[in-house]
Amino acid sequence: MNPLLQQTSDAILKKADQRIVPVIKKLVDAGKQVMYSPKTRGMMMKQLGDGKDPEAIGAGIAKLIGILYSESKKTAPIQALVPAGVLLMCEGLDFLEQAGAVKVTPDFLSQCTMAMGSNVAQLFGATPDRLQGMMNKVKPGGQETPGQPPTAPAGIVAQAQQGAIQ
Amino acid sequence: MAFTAVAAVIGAGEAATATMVLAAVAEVGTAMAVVGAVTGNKELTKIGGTMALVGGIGGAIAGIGGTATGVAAEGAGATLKGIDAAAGDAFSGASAAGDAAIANYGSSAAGMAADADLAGGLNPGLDPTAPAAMDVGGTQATATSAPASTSMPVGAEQETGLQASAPSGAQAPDGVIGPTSPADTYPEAQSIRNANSTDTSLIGGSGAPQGFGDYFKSFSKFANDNKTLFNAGMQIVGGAMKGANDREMFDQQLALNQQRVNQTSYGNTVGNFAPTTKGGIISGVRA
Repeated sequence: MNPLLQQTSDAILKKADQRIVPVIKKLVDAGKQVMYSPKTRGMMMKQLGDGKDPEAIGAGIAKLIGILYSESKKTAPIQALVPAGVLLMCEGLDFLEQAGAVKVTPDFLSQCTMAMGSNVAQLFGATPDRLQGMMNKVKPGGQETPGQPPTAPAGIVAQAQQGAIQ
Repeated sequence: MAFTAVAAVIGAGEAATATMVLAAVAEVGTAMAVVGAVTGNKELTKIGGTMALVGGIGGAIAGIGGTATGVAAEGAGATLKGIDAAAGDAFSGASAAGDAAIANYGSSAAGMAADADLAGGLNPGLDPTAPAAMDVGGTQATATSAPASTSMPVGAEQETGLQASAPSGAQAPDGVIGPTSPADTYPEAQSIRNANSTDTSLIGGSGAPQGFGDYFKSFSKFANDNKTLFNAGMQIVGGAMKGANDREMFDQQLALNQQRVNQTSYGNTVGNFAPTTKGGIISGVRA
């Protein structure tokens, strides 16, 4: 494997929660079967296209993650799915590089990662609009729109002081 | 396979929970930050760090508010012990269940092929505004109009004579990746089949994904618009972590003091028992 891709894979596994590394590896194995199985290989190749478009590669990996999530009856934790997605992306890029379709450079890997990240986040509904809606609910007072808090009426002392000043 | 259809599989007719959304943000951010560190891409590292922070702080705020549990905030470096423990419980349960489900992958590649196609074609029923799945096997069936409903006509007529949609897990016919899906009944199916599959702008209807450039631009705007809240969240998390550290130090100090009391109360732990003398055991102890 390309040293850059190998380094990326190692770093992802090292950063992940060690308790779920076995789950990540199983997801990667399952993902490879989808990628390379004769029945599904064409689908993946069609998605990856000529291998030069980072957006297509990222979208393809995100869809693969979606398939793995649905196949696991939605029990696979996101904490394992995302690292598995990165590892599968590295696997796919290595395959494309060995096939001579693309040269994996740090910039290209970065773009593919950004594309994968944005597609995965949107796949799970993590859009800025949705996050803003969630944040609005936890703002002080639970107000949908930020506004000034209501002012309390003046107490006895304050009223007396106001009367004295006037 | 349509992006929105895959998303519908994940949502399955119900809104994804806040926990899932925030966990996804945190995990994606962490992964991006790691890759950014490896490739030396500062922009990727910065965006990843921002997302990890948003996901982590958002989860911490929601967790404190009691509205969400089990969110992994470690990606933001803002882990509360309580949230971490809850996340651990979620991991063990999900890991065991996922392990059992994933163990079936090796023996059901054909089933996965059918499911993959169905994942793209079945769920437009859950989202009537979503176009049908793209053709992945070169089928030429012409779509016929059908009402958008959750009850898919299984025996939809197809001009090519291909078999109608098979139930989930059915063996795909040779030479065709996946059977024709109920999505063939959508009028948009033909246009989607003719579309370039790498053109994400043609994938899906109302839920078409943004390109990563636009997505992160809007995400950065969101983070900037809410920086006051995130700063407050950081203070809350910092205070909670300090409190947790102080409590831990107190517990350790208490345990140390208790050990000292135990030692001084009973004196030297080495037995002082001398051989028994005429005075009896007590005299021997005093010796």
